[in-house]
Amino acid sequence: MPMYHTLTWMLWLAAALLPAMISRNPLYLILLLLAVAVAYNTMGRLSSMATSWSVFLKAGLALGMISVVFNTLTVHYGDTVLLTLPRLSLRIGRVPFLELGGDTTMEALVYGLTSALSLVAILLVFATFNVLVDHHKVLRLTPAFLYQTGMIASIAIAFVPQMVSSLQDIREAQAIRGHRFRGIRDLLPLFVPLLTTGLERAIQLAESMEARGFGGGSRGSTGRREALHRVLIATALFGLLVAAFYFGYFASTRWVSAIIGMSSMALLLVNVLVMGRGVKRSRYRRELWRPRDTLVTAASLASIVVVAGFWLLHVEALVFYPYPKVAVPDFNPLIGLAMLSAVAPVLAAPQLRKSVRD
Amino acid sequence: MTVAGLPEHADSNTGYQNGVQMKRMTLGLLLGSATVALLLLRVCPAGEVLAQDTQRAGLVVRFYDGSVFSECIEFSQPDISGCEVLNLSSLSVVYGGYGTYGEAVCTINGVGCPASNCFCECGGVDCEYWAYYHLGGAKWNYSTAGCSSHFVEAGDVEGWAWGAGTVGATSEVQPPVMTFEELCAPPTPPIVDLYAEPDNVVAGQCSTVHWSVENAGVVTLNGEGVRPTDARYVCPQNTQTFELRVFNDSGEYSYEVTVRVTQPSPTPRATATPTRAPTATRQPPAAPPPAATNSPRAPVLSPSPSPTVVPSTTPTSGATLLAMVATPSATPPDEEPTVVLQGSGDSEHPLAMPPPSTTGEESVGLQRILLLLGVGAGTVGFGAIAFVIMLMLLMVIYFRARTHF
Repeated sequence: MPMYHTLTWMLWLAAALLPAMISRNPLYLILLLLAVAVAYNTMGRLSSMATSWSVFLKAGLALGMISVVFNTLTVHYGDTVLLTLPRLSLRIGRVPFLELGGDTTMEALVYGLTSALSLVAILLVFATFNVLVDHHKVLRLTPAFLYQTGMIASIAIAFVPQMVSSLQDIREAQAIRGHRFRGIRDLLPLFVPLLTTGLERAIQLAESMEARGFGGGSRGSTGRREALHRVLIATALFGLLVAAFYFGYFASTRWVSAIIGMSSMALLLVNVLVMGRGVKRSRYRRELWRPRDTLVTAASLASIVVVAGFWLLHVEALVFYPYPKVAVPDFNPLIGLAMLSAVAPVLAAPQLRKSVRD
Repeated sequence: MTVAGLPEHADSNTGYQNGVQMKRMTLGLLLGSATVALLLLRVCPAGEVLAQDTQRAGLVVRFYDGSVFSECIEFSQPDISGCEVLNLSSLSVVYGGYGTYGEAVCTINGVGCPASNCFCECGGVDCEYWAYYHLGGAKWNYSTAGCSSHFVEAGDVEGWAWGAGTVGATSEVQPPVMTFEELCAPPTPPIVDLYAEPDNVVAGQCSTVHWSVENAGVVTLNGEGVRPTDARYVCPQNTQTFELRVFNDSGEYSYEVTVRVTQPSPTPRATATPTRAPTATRQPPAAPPPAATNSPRAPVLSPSPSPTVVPSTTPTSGATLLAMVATPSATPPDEEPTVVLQGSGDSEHPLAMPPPSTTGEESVGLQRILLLLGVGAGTVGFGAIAFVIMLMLLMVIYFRARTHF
C-alpha cells in the first residue's frame, strides 16, 4: 500500500529541491543531505528501484570531486593561500584557456566543496524521489490540459532508473554467459545491448503511445481550431519571453514587464484549459488522502515558505560566499528546521507512529 | 573462454579487437591533444621569471565623479594578469570571485559594489560597473575578458572606468586616453637658468637674482616657495649665496648663485653650482644631467659635472592623480605616498562602500528578519549549538526509524 499521496511527494520534492538549488551554505546543505539520506535509508531501501539511489550517489560524488579539483586548481583568488604550485598557462594570444597551478587558496577549495555539496544534494533529492514514488502516479496526477507535458516529464523522470535496471539485467545476463568485467575493454558487451535495449524501448513506447491515440487531438477538435490554439500558445510563450527580457533589461519600468507577463500567462492558461476540456480521463483506483499526508504537506509548505521568504527578503542568509576570506558560515535555526522537513515523511509514517504508541 | 560448462563467448575476440581499436583511438586522441597543447601551452614555472628585467605598464582609472588616477606599474614577470596590475598599484581593490570564470572588480578605492553582489548597480540597460579596457593605438578597446583572464605585457596600458556601460560594446564612460609614453616616460629633470645681475656689488648696492625653471614642480629660493620664472631684487650687506631648489617627478635638485659684496676693489666672479642634496633616495632610471642653459649674460650658471638628482617624494611606481593639487614635500622615503581623490570622500560618494564589516550589517539584517519571523536568535554561537542539536536529532530519527521499516 502506498504510504503517501503522490501530491504529498511532489510537495516534498519541491521543498527539498528549493534550498538545494538556491543555497550554497554548507551547513544547510549537510542537514538537507542527511535528512534525505534518512528518508531513503528508512523508507526507500526496500523499493524495487533502490539500486538506482547508489548510482545517483556515485555520480554525484564523482561530479563533486571534479568540481572541487577543478575549482581549486583553476581559481587563484582568495586571501588564504594554501600552497603555490608551478604555474601552467594554456593561452591563445593573451587570453588564457586554462590557468593551472599558481596560488591554491582555501577559498577556492571551500567554494568547490560547497558547489559539490549543492550538486550532490540536487542529485540525491531526485534519486530519493525516484525511489519513493511511482512515476506512473505522477503522470496520473497531471491536470488534463497538461497531459502531454505530464507524459514527457514522466518519461524523463523514469529514464535513469529504467536505464539502471536494464544495465543490471544485462550485466547479470552477460555474467551468466561467462563474461567478466575487468577493464574498459570489457564494457563494450555491456553498452551495445544497453543501447539496443534503449532503442527498442523507445520504439515500443512510441508505438504504445500512438496506439492509445496520444497526440491525436481531443474530441471535437478541428484542424483550424488546433492551428489557432498553437498560434495562441506560441504568442503567449513569446509574450513571456518578452516580459522576461523587459524585466532584466529595463529595471526602471518593470511594471510593463509585469503587465506583459501576466497577460501572456493568462492567455496560456485559458488556451490550455480550453484544449484540455476535450480530454476525458477515467480513474480505476483513486489515491487516498490521509491525515499523514496533511502533516507532511504542512511541513513541506512551511519549508517552502521559509526558504522562499529568506530568498526574497534576505538572500544573504542562504548564500555562503567564501571570497575574499573564508569565514564560518552563518546558521539560522529557522532555515535549519526547514531542511529537517525532508525527514517529515519518516516521522509521520504509520510504522513509526505505531511504535511510539506501543 | 569456457566457464562452468557454458559455451565460449562468441564475441570475446571481437570485443578484444574493439578494445584494442578503442585503445589506439584513445592514444591517438591523447597524442593529438598533447601536440595541440604543446603548440599553445606556455609553461611559466614560478620563480624562473623573477630574474627578468623590470617591465612597465600603464594604468588609468576613471572614477564616478570624473577624477582620474594614473600610474606606471612595474613588474618583474614577462606578463601579469590585469588583476595583478591593479594589485601592484596604490589603489585598494575588492574582487568578486566567479568560480572558474575568474574574478570581477567590484570596488576600487571604495567605489563600487560589495564582493558578495559585485554587479549591484546592474539592471539590464542601466548597468554600472567597473568596465575594463585595453588601450589599442589611440582608443580604448572594451575588454572581452575579465582582469584575471587578460594578460598584460610591457608597454600595455590598462583602463578602468566606473559608469554606465554596455556589455560587449564600448562603454559610454571611458577613461581618458593616456599613452604608455605619457604614463611611464622616464622623469625629466628640470632645465634651470639661474644668475645674479650684477653678481658683484659694492656694499650698499643691490643686485637682482633671476631664475627660470622648465619642467618644474615646486621651486623654492632659500626655502621660500617661488614661481618657476621670477626675479628677486636683493641688497646684501655681505656676500650671500642663494639656493634654488627644484622638486619635480624626477627628483629634487639644488642650485646656488652667490652675490659677492666687496669694498671698492677687484671682485671674483659669481658661480651657480648644483650641489648634491643630502636626502638622496634613488636615482631615476636614465636621468640625464639637468641642462643648465648658458645665458649670454655673465656671470652664468656653471653646473658641476655630477648634478644632484634627488627624488624625495616620488613613489616607486610614479603615481600621479590628475585633478589633484600636488604638494610635494620632504616625505621620508619609506613613507607610503598619499593619494587623495578630489571630490570622492568616502562618506559623500554616492557609491562609496562602507568599511568592510566583520560582524556587520549582515548579521544585523539577519537578526531583523529573525525578529520579524519571531525567532530571537542568530548569533554564531547559538547557530552552532542549533546545528549540532539538529544533527543529533537526525541521528536519533534514523536509528529509531530504521528498525520499523
